[in-house]
Amino acid sequence: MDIGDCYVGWATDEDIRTRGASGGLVTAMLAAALEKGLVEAVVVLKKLGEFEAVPIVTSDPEEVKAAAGSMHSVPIVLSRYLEYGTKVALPAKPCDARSTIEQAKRGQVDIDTTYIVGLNCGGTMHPAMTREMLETVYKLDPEEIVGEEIDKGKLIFETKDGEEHAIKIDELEEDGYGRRESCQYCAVNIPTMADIACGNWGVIGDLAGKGTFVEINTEKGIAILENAIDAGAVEITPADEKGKAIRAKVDGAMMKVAAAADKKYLSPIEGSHLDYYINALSDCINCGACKTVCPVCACGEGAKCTEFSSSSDTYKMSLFHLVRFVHLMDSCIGCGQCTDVCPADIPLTHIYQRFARPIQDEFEYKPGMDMTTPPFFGVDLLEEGH
Amino acid sequence: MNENIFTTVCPGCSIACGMYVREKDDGTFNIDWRKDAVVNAGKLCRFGVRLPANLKAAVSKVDGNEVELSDAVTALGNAIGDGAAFVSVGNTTCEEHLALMKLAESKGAVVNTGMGAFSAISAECHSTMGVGVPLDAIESAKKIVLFIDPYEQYPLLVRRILAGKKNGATVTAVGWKAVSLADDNKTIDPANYESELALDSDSVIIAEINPSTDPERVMVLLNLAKASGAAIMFMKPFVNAVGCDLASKKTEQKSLDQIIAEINDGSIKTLVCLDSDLIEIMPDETAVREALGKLDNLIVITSRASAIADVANIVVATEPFYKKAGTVVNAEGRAVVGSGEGTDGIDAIGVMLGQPADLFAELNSAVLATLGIDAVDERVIPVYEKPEYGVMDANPTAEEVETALVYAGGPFFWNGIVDDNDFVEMNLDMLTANSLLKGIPAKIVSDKGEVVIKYKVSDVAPGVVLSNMKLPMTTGMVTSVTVSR
Amino acid sequence: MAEATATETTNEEWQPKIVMFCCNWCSYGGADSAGMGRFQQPPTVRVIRVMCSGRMDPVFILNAFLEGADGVLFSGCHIGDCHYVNGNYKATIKYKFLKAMVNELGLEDERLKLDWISASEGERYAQVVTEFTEQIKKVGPSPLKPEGVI
Ligand SMILES: Cc1cc2nc3c(=O)[nH]c(=O)nc-3n(C[C@H](O)[C@H](O)[C@H](O)COP(=O)(O)OP(=O)(O)OC[C@H]3O[C@@H](n4cnc5c(N)ncnc54)[C@H](O)[C@@H]3O)c2cc1C
Ligand code: SF4
Ligand code: SF4
Ligand code: SF4
Ligand code: SF4
Ligand code: FES
Repeated sequence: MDIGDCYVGWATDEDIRTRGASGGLVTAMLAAALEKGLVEAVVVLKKLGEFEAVPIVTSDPEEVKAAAGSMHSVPIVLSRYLEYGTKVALPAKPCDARSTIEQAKRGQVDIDTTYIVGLNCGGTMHPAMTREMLETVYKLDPEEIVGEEIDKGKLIFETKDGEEHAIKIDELEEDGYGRRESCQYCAVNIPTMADIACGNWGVIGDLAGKGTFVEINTEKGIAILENAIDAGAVEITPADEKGKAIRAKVDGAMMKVAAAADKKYLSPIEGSHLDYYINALSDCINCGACKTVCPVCACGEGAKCTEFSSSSDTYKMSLFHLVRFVHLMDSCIGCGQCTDVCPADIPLTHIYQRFARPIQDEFEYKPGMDMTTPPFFGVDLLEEGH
Repeated sequence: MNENIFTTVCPGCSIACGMYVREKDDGTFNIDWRKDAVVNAGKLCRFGVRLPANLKAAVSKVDGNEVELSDAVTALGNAIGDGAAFVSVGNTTCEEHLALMKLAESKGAVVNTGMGAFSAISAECHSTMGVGVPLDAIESAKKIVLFIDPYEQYPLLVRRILAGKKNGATVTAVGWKAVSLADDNKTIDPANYESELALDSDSVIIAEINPSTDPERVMVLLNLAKASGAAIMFMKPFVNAVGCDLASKKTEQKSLDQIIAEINDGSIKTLVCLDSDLIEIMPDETAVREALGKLDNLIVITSRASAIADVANIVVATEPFYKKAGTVVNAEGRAVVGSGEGTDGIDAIGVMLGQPADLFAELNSAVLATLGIDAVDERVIPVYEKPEYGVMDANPTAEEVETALVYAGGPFFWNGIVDDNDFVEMNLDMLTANSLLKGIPAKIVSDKGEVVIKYKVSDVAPGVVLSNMKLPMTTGMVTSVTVSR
Repeated sequence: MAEATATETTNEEWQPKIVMFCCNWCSYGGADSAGMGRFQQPPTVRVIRVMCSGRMDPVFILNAFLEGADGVLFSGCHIGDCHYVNGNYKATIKYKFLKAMVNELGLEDERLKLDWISASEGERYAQVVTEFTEQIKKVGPSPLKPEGVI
């Protein structure tokens, strides 16, 4: 097995295979990593309801197995739950993987002992929006939903009676429903930065829907997959060229969709920028959630944005925000967490991205894609010729 | 390290935002965002976010010495005689509150929720005063009138009001400080509310009832709602104030001021406080401390360490709020149940009730019966009858002071916590008039004493010094003061 | 610090408030030389000494604007002359970030400037300050200036 190899795989366990999103390969791999001692802990989502799950850090393979399946209405980033020094594995959408890498650069994650099992991601939805959309657009009772799926550009909900209800994502998003805004313009669909990238794109023929496409990106990727094969937990077969081509094609198509969303949401502000920002932030209640939840920020309690800022400041904007805008310019990955938790419903991700994009373009630096040092960390002496 | 994850609600105010608490083996905890919570979509205000920093576990004590919980419970049994007074403002579950009510009843007493407005206003209004409207109704209102500052007092209302505005509502704020989300910030004489606000059945009025609220003001607002047909919602500063009020015998209750007066005149010798810190809740801290000092027995049953526990004769420390089993009813009347299973408080009180079997189950069915439901579903608000009430003759007392220190309230205020609220606010004219200089704190003097404190320039009413933190020199929610450099 | 309560009473030409951060070893010396050489310079600048231009934290600059500065200048030793090897390279990078930030925020580009001034360049110091002052006079008072602060 070599870096760059592509396979289609599935769990040998019948139960995991049926409950898994596309054959349960990821679940089987994570559980086997625990069972065979490759890792001490695994981060997964513990399902509490159809639209509710909470991240857990567990050493119990049964909890990992129970977590099989993709939750599209759980827009949570898992990297915040990693603890330095534990050998750990996590399933990772591109935003999970990228923030894990950013945390590694800041010494919060030991990249050598962290196995990033990447999941392709076409986007997540906020559960409150999902429920509203079900009621008003699908005309379905959210409590009747037993499964969800994205297929051929349609968002499909399955109800208890076994019926499937599909609506085109484009149409939903036209009306303000569907994926979170940040996911609509998230241009990274395949987690090339993860140790291994898993997804259902490119699985064709008899295996469609029953197998997971995997691409090996690193030595750790080889280790975690071989570990699972040795344990008898998964079976794989080489991916065929047609499948690879289809996967690449869909990825390209999705990137175009993201670029269109970019135009739609992030075209330059008309009129006074300052008025726009002062106005957008005028409802901030200084809860600090946007900082606490940010998965690329490594500051704890005594951070510059909080220590130098106070509610008693008589300023036109809060220093807290201005400092964060600068600090996130090189590292914001547009994961949407800040917008999700803002109690004043301020479109924070949107704002952070507006500040971050010009500088990330200028320095040709894309955070979280690899271990490259961010430009703000200082100057490379050799590069400067000293 | 292992974690226990609790699905719970924030104990900061009567919005009762859904959240997770992740508790480690060593008892420390973090909060996490519960995005599928119907009340708040996972969003929390500063109080909720900073709960780990501000919520300290209580310790059982007898006469100042740390003891085991069981010993504190024994001491409690010996200390409660007839003639004890009971207070529970609503910082605990309905079940625990009900247990205390049973105990009080066995001593021929009632449990006071401390909301004086209830006993001062006729019973037909209680349902309207107690249970508000669904938060969704704010989003679909045509007119929203605020008699509170949502940013400071009930932060998770902000997004609801903003959503209402987006849907076309106009927002009018009547208060001490201009709020930026209002289309119109006004000071209106209560006599002119009806004509100036011009409300109708598509309007929502948002106000507050707290232990210091003047009942006459509540009556004015009830009259306004009745005359216009507008919906009205009274927010409460305590997470389960609504649930506790629903269960309570409101007409027999005393206000906190009355209780303090009766301690002072010697008719109350023993006071039992269930998660109710009078030192923190009442504006005149020194007066409360003095009165409490006169008691033979101050008994505190509490889930968190707070000022009153430090001066109590007996402290019965129960599990933190997020671990409690039982029901909480928020300002909308929505019932929620967390995943906690703790019953320390109920068990402690149960000892004095002769340890009835299945006490929790019994209390829980009584709570469900009060709510008229078979089981709690956080997504379905129980149906409450809101009887018609008559127009009342109301004469709210106008505060006639030249310069007044005014408490705005808010979760940090009611919990006696200094966080990022250690400053006062006043307008630019006040600075000029009192020769204040930038960077130099202001000196604020009352009859009782003075503080030197940071200030911030805000769009506050003339003559008002607004505070969200309890200051030691106040005599009420409004205190006459002078300001200087 | 400005008096929050003071109000503008004169009809004289508006004088901007400029905060200037100078590194200890070069630019601060430059300010000294300018004074000793009696080079003409406008009274618009408040100088804050930092040990090195590399010590410049974006917090300082943002805070200056929020406090009511109409413009912020920061300066250090010429490239290659930094007394801490490469502090001014770091300053250059931060400056790029801050420029991008200030632009997106909608503050005029003219309000922020980085320049190198050595200890002996008294005349140049005066020139930089004069030019910057003229530049700020053209764009007028900062829109971030808090109410009541002149
Ligand atoms: C939100 C989302 C969107 C996706 N979109 C695409 C797509 O567009 N194209 C594509 O090819 N593949 C997509 N995938 C990946 C695909 O759905 C499968 O996860 C992947 O094929 C692996 O399947 P499996 O059966 O091996 O995984 P499983 O065995 O089912 O294991 C899934 C693992 O993912 C974790 N998980 C579930 N939901 C989340 C979440 N929201 N965030 C983080 N971890 C989660 C679970 O805890 C579990 O450990 C998406 C996955 C998710 C979670
Ligand atoms: S930000 Fe990108 S990777 Fe993260 S959930 Fe959205 S689409 Fe997926
Ligand atoms: S600033 Fe917001 S969008 Fe950017 S990484 Fe942080 S949480 Fe994600
Ligand atoms: S999450 Fe929203 S309200 Fe809270 S500090 Fe951030 S911007 Fe302000
Ligand atoms: S204090 Fe009130 S508004 Fe704030 S998080 Fe707690 S319940 Fe929600
Ligand atoms: S010492 Fe002058 S720039 Fe570093």
